[in-house]
Amino acid sequence: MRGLGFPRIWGRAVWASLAVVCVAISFVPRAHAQKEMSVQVRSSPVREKPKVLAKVLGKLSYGTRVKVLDAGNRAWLKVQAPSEPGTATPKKMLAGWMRLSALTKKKLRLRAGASVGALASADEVALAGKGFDEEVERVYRRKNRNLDRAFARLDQLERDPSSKVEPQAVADFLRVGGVNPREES
Amino acid sequence: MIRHGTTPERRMMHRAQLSPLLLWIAVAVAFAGGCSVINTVLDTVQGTGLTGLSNDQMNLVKSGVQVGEKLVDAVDTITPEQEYIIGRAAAAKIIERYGVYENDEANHYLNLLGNAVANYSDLPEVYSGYHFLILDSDEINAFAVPGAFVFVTRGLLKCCATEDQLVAVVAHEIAHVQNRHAIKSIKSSRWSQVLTTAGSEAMKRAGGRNLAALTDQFEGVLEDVTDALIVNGYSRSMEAAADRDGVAIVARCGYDPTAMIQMLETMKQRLGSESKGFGSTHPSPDDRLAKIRPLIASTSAGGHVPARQARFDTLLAEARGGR
Repeated sequence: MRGLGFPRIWGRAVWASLAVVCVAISFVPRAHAQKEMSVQVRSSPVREKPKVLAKVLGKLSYGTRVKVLDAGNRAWLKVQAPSEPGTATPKKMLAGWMRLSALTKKKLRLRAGASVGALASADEVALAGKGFDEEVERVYRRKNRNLDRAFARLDQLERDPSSKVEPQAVADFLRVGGVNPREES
Repeated sequence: MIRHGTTPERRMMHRAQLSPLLLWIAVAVAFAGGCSVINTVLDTVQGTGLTGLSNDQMNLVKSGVQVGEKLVDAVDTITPEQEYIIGRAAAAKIIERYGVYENDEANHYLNLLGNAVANYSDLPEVYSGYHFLILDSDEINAFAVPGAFVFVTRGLLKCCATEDQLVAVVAHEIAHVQNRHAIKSIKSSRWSQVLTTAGSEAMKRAGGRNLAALTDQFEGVLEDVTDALIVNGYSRSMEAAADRDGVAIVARCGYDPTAMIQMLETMKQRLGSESKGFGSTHPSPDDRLAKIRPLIASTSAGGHVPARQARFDTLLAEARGGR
């Protein structure tokens, strides 16, 4: 500590006070961190009400920052974000309810063009897509040619439009089967 | 503290004494604020130029702070995209081992049912959506990988006599996904190496990525995941949690939770002395039944719905029957 010039000019009382302040700071709730969140799935619906089968107003893409308007529900958040192309009102703001699991407090960087730059924290590096991504998968597949057919089958599954289940299809499936969800949120 | 009226030499001496003081305050506040604050605070202090340290010296301080955080759990730092990439590779290994049962009608039904049930879990939305497939194997087994891909063997389909019982199977697997058991099975020492490699100075100076090292580590992470999925199974507590949460998902969705009991009774008869599949990676059906019976007694919902049974019988007739 003396090598870094630990000052002798301040008394023990001052350093004790500083320690108390630091501990107090650690308990201050970070409310600001919940005012904005990021979409952490490829595409997520924004619904009119906080219910599984509510009308879908639009969709938001991975990495989109949303403003949190209402965080009172256990599993849903009311959010606001610019509408994306393809929605009913592309030039306006989209406000509605999203599932909590589709959102994260972290800022997500998109893969392309994200350089590490200055020494980054572990979180920033992971979020910059410098960890496992499609490039790593490509190298892995080249090393494991025996998995070619299996990966191709997965690609086929993910590209098949019928494998994407829309909310209306879920509603119809449950209704035809006489299934009544106990709670919708 | 700079005093007015002091000589330039004394002011310089006071500033020299303050510089490390500022650094100590910054480090103390950073640690008090938690890991996520560390770099922000240190960057800010570095930007003031008042620490008296060069950029290289400050970067050494920061890297020392990060070395101190060496062991990091994947579940705390992994992104949904990375979970998905790991999940795809694990799914490919499962498909390669068991093969897909290529029956569009049956797979479409399972996928629709699975997505309906996932809507009532605590993780209804995952990076690329839920995908469900039937595996062409008589082994009684099911797998759920991050991302999420969920597989059910024909052998396990034969343990189900109703749609509600199939929902119980699917809900158990979705509970593994929502609780992120596969990601939690990644050794923290292994994941910490991944983060170190991804953020290494060597990688930055090379202007690119250390793909060879990352891919080696990817294979190691994949081994942790597939060991838990296929070889050793999850811990007893994880399996108990998946049963408990699976029952809750079934009830929330509106299906009959007692179907879980019926399915386990059938599985118990069919497993017998089978050493593969569920027999080797899961607690015995008797153990599981003992734990979940108290939960189900208070949440059961009865009722037989002809349309529900009809579609189950029709769409899975071939999958559950002979070839």
